[in-house]
Order: sequence, then C-alpha cells, then structure tokens
Amino acid sequence: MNAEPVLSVRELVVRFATDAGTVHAVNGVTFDVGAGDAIGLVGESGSGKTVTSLAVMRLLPKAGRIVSGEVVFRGKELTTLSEHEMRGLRGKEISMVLQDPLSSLNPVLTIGEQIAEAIRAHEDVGRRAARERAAELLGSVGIPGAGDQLERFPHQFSGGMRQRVMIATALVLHPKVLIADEPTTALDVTVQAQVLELLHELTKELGTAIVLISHDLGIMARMTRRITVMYAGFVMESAPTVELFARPRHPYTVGLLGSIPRAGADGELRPIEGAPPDLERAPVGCPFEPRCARRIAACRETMPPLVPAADASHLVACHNPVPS
Amino acid sequence: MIAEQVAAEPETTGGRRALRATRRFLGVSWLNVLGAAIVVLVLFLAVLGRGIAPHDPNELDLAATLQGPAAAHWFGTDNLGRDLFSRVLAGARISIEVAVIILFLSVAFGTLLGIVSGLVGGLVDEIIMRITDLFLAFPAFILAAAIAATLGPSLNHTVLALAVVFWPWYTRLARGQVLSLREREFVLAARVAGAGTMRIATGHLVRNVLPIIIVQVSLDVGYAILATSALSFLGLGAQPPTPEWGAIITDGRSYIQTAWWFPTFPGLALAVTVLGFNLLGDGLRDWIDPRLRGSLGGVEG
Amino acid sequence: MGGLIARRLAFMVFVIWGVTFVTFFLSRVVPGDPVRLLAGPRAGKAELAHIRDLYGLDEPLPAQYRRYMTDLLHGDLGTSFVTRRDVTSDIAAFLPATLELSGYALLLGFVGGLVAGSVAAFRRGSGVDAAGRLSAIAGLSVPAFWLALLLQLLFHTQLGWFPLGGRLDASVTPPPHITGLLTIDSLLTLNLSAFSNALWHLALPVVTLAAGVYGLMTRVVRTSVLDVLGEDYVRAAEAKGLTRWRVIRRHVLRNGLLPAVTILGLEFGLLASGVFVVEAVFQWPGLGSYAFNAIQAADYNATLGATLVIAIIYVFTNLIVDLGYLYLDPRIRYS
Repeated sequence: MNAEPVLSVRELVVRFATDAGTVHAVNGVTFDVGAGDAIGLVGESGSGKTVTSLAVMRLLPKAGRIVSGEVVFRGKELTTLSEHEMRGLRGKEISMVLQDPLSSLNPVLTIGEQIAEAIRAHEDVGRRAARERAAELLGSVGIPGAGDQLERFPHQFSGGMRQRVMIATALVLHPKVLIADEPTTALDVTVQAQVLELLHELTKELGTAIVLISHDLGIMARMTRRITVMYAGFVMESAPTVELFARPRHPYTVGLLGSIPRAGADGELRPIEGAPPDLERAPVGCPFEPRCARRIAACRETMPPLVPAADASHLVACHNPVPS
Repeated sequence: MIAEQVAAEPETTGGRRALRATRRFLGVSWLNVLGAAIVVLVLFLAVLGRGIAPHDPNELDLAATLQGPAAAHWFGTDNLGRDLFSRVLAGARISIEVAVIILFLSVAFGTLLGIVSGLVGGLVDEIIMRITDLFLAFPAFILAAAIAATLGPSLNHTVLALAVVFWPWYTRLARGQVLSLREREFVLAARVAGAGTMRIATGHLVRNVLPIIIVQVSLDVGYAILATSALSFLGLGAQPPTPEWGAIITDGRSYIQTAWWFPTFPGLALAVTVLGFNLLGDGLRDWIDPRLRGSLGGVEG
Repeated sequence: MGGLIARRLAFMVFVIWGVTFVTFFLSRVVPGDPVRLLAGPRAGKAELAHIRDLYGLDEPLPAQYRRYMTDLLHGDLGTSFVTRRDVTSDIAAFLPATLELSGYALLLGFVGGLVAGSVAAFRRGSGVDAAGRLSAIAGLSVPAFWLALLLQLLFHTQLGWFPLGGRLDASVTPPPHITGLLTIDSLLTLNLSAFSNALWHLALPVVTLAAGVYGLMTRVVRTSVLDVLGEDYVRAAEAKGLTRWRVIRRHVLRNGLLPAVTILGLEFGLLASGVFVVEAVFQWPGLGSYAFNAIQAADYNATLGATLVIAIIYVFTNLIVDLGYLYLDPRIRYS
C-alpha cells in the first residue's frame, strides 16, 4: 500500500433519526485507499456499506447524520467542508456508480444530456463541446455508434449498456476515487464479467482508486487488493485480499467465506445462521455475538477493538479469533 | 369458564390492536388529530344536535328577524326570525344523512359491479368498463346538475344524481384491486380448493378490497356534502324551509350586506365539516400508502 | 405511439357519442314531462300539443333520436325558452367570459400549487409542510359559493377594494370584440384603462375559482416530488456534483411535474363545477351563469346544451392532456 492514502476514513459514526428511534447505521468504520488502489467493503445488506459510501460523498438522506469521525481526501477533511466546496469534489475528484443503472438514470433525459451535465457541472464548456466529450466517452466504454446513442433515452438501452453509461459518466472527469456500490448486482451474470473488466481497465488506465462495495466475495477476489469486512456498521476484519481468503481470522468472515458456493466443494450453500441484529438498539458488545459459534463471555460486554492479528496489515476485531 | 376466556380473548386483542392503530395514526401528524376531532364533533352534533338546539329550526319569530349574534341567538337569526344556530345544527344532520345515503348507494352498486367486472372478465368486463368511461368523461358536478335539473329540484333527486356520478369511481377502484388480487396465491389456492367464484368474491376479495374503499369513502364524504350543498345553493337540491346548509346560504345571500352572519355561519359549518373529512381521508391514505411512510429514505446496505 | 393516438381518438369519438346519448336520454326518457316544463304550469292542452309538435316530441323515440343527432351535427342545440334565441349562438356569446375566468384561475391555481407542493415536499415533516398540506385541503374543502360571498363581504362591502361583480364597470367602454377575452382584447387595442378595469373585476372570482385547483395541485405535486426525491437518479445527479438548484430543476421538478400534467383534466372538472356557482355569485356573464339561469327557469334546451358543450370541452381537454403526456414521457413516446 502507498504511504499516503488518497482517501482515509477514520472512526466514522453515522446515525439515522427515524419515527421508531435512532438507527446506529455505521459505528466507527476505518479504512484507507491508496492512489490507484482497489479496496473492497463487504458485508450482508444492512451492514452499513452503502451508508458509509454516502457519508463519504456527504449525500446521506436528511434523517442521517455523521456523528463523529474523519473522512480525509488528499489531506482535506470532508466532514466539515462547506456544501459548496463539497459539491466541487463530487463527480470531479470522487465519483460514484450506484447499484441499479436503470433507476440511477433519469428516464426523461437523454443519455447525452446526463453525461454532459456531469461535465458541465465542473468545467466551463459549451453544450457542443460537452456533447463531443460524451460521444468520445461512450466509444471508450464500448458502446458502438456513440454519436447517435446520445439522443436515446435510458429505457432504450440494455442493463449492461446502462451500467457502461454510468461508469463512463462517473469517470468522465478522471476522478481520484470511484465508489462503486454493487455495480453489477442488477446485471445478468454474463454481462457482469464484461462490466467488471471495463471498470478494472478504465480505473487502471486513469489511475483512479476504486472502493468496491459488494456482498459478492467472488467479485471482491477478482477486483480488489484489500478487503474490509463489515457487520452491523462495524469493521470486523480488514486484510489484503489474498491473506483474507487464505487465513480469515474473524468467525463472521469464516462464515461469509463458507457461504460462497464453490465448484468442486460439496456444492452446499452454507449461510450463516440467524439474522443481522436490530440496528435500533444502541450497540453493546459485539453485534455478531448472538450468531457466533466462538462466542465467549467478553463478547456480550464489550466490542473488541480492531487490532493487528498476525502482521500489521491484517486487522481483526474479535475476542476469540479463529486460529490461523 | 375456560372456554369463555378463550372466546373472549380475540375480542380484546382485536380491540386493543384497533386502539393502538388509532393512537399511531393520530401520532403521525397533528393534522390527523384535527381531522379526527372535527369528524367526531360533527357526527356527535348530527346525532344529538336536536337535543342541544335551543330552538326548533323552523320556529318563526317575526319580532326578531335578522338579529346579530348574541347570547339569545349564538349565530343570530334569519330574515324570518329563525334561530340560525339551531338551523345549522339541523343542517349537520341533513348533510351527514345525505352523504351516508349517497355513498351507500354508490359504494354498494359500484363495488359490486367492479368485483363482478374483475372476476368475470371478458365481454362483461369490457362493457362495464366502457360504461364507467362514459360516466367519467363528464365533469361529475355538471352531470349531477343536469340530472338533478331534469328530475326537478328536490333533495332526493340531488342524492340520486350524485350517486349516479359517484359509482363509476368505486367500480374502477374495486376492479383494479380485484385484478391485482386475482393472481395472488391465496385466491389461487382457494380456486384450487374448489371454491366457486361467489365464495372467492365474498370471502377473500371483499376483505382485501375493503380498506381501500374505506379510504376512498372517507375522502368522498367531504365531496358528497360539498356537492349536495352546491346543488342546493343553485336551487336544485333542498327546498325551503329545509335547513340544509347550501339552501340557508342561498337565502342569506341577498342579506350579506346587512346581516353578514346569515350566510357566514352555515358556510363556516359546511367548510369546517368538509375540511374535517378531507383531513381524515387524506391522513388515512397517506398512512396506508406504504410508499409515503417514513423510512431511511430508500437507503439499504 | 401512432396506434396509441389512434386508439385515443377512437375512444374520444365514442365518448362524445356517449355524451350526446346521455343528454338525449336525460331530455326525453327520464320521467317528468319536458313539455310541461317548457310550457309552464298555466299552459292549456292546445298549447301543450303545439309544443309537442314544434319539438317533434310526439314522434317515436328512435325518430326523435335521429332528428336530435342530425340537429347536433349541424351545430343546432335548439332554441332557448328564455332568450328565444339559438342555444348555440347564446353559448358562443357566453363562452369567452368563462374561458377568460377559468384560464386565469387555472394559471393561478397551477402555479400556486406547484410552488406550495414542491416546497412542502422539500421540507417534509416540518411546519411548512403541515401548513402546505392544510392549505391544500382547505382549498379543496371550502365551498366556492361561500368563499365568493365572504370575499365580496370583506373586499367589497367592508374595504371597498374590489367591485361586487361583472366583467367591466358600466362607465368603461369595452374593447372591440377580437377574441372575446377582455384582458387580451384591451391589450391588443392598447386600451390600458379597460385592461386594468377588467383585471380588477377578475380578481375576486379568479381567486375563488383557483382555490380548488390550488388544493388539488399542491397535493399531487407534493406526493410526486416526494416520490422523485427518493429516486436513485436524484442521488446520482447529486453525486455528479450538480448544484442543488440544478438537481431540483432538471431532475426533481421535471419528473415530479409529469403527474401534475395528468391531473389537468381533473382540474378542468373542478373548474367546470366551480364556474357554475362562482359566476352565479359574481354575476359573471359566462356559460355558468347561463346554465344557472337556464336551470332556474327550467329552460330545457339551454341546460342540456350547456352541459353538452362543457362535457365536450372536457373530453377535448383530456385528450390534449393525454397527448401532451405522451410527448413529455419518452418511455411512452418511443415504444
């Protein structure tokens, strides 16, 4: 990992105020992304992955609030930045690809308009120049006849094409960081591979660091160099991808790895038993404790800190980690 | 003894659940509280108004015509010396009765037709839907006015005219619900189990269509009251000396320069009543429509 | 798309036929003797027979229906019993006043509802939101005829700021008839005193009529803007770094307003009913007053003629709204 991370999240805490009470969505999440690096945030739905990424972008829904923690981008603290300055970063320095490409494209605007508005939000270019850039870009993400495609509407594209458009839009201004939130979950399996390949190539070419959010460990293994495992808004384990797959230390990670179907194994899918906890209660102890096979008395009392397990790059938050 | 307790149990939990639901509904917004309070008050006055009213609503007192609001006559008196407060109270009863009849007629007829249309399908469905299209193609009030005018001015004809323009909305609503429910598992299961079309209609569908109809009714009560009064105001509905609110306002119209209270109080009663029902209906719809309920704002993961 | 438009047009022809059928049905088949109504209570037997003959009411129903449709296709709505003139030419004379009144009311209610509905949605759950919702429901709940009387009482009788009714003061020379809309005709002829006088007369009836439109519009816009605010494409637009105002204008309002267009038809229905009572109270010489007077005088042909014309305008408005929606929503346009 590079010495100076381009994006660094420290002890991030996010809460939501709802009719039913306070929801503890993110409880002290920490991770770093080096320039041009690729890291993954993995966890079940409800683990706080998406909320973390929205907090980094400062695009939390109204009910959500960053309670404490730091988000540092190239030495700049983002949580206290003015909305005006923050807007200047969004899409230009840090951009985002959302899960469902159909719902993230406005149905009544043409593809061309939606790419061009991303350019014109940050650069003082004319309509025509923005259009040319958009056409060029569509070509570069493998959409043929790019010039004519600009006039078309989202519903006239296939799912894979739409996600290519979203990726193109996110990368048009050569951002330093791209946050991709489940970028292929809504796509067909055959298209998934192509889109991931495209994402990989483009970010490498532009030197864009990527934060990939997914519940799919197979994708993580292919795309990332380091993985942070999240559960109920906490970081459970964080390690280089190869290390994590080879020597998972947290019982939850072991469970996750156990629940990916692997060819050649017994073919049984082994989901972790039980359901994720109710985020409405204030977190006391380890949130995974009720589902954990290795729980001990301390797990009920305190949340274990995230500490180095074997070497400094492999961190785990567990009172009773799996021996390596 | 034990059998009694067991039998009584669903009753109490059902009642308690209704109470909890009511409390939650009122807790959503003070507008819901306001709407519910107005509706309860109006219903109370409609039922018990006769006992509260200080005078007979049609009692003439030619010695005390066009008196302003005072202790003796809270809302003043009209051009014939009748007590306006008593007349407004009597009007509440008329408005509620009229709305109940209009909605009973149109809901019963419209819902039945809609359920039949949705269940039977085919040509029957096609014909029923084209007829509703036809009725919905008229501005409702204009059609009601034309029907009432043709039948001749009377409150009964107004009720009939409004029922005629209201039913197609319920047919549409019920049919839409039936169509979406028809394919759901429990109805399919009932079919497989050999239940006839009528059994399905009465058993499962009515229970599922009912909540939506109730919300629509609560929204329409206000409109029915308003339309009845407007038709009476135009001279098509209630005739003098009936203390219907719209009819009183017509009488009072010519006195607005000299006796402001004459058309003002019945109008205020009408406006507040309609507001109450609309607030309640709007709140109920918002509350039942899950899309509009408070959540994390669509964020998952 | 082409097929869709063809289907809509075919449906419209069916609906207009249906509308004429209903009015015919109302005039001939419904119990109650129209001849008696026409002739009045004091008419003798000979007079009744004469009227029957005059209107062809002694013929069998199918023949009457044929004659009724033939007349209609020639634009003949019969003769008004009160004015003794063609109902068609009467309606043509009264229609512009109504169009002017309802046009301004629609504009005011639409714009007002747009602003109030969006602001309420953006500030969901706040006091502003509650005030927006309350005002919307109040607008839909207040009886137009009563609001009209109250406004007269306050702004004419008490304060003397606005006239009691009518389209122009008697002392003001009306502009020459070009469109029949006084504000436009006076502007076209640069008659500024007539223009301001016409606006001054429009104020109270327009506000009364706009209340319902405002209520409906606010409610619909609030709901649809709330829906759109939860959409991913709004978040995607924010993530591109668009300014808040640009996100609102390009994405939220543009999409949130589509449903508002579809309810224009409903709003026209509200206006049509409001026009009846509002024109009656403000002595506005439009179609509503005409129909109101016709009803009061049991003037049969005039009542049904006005109903027919209003219904046909309503059908056309809905058609235009539907086609407009097809144009505005590319998902339908290109399928």
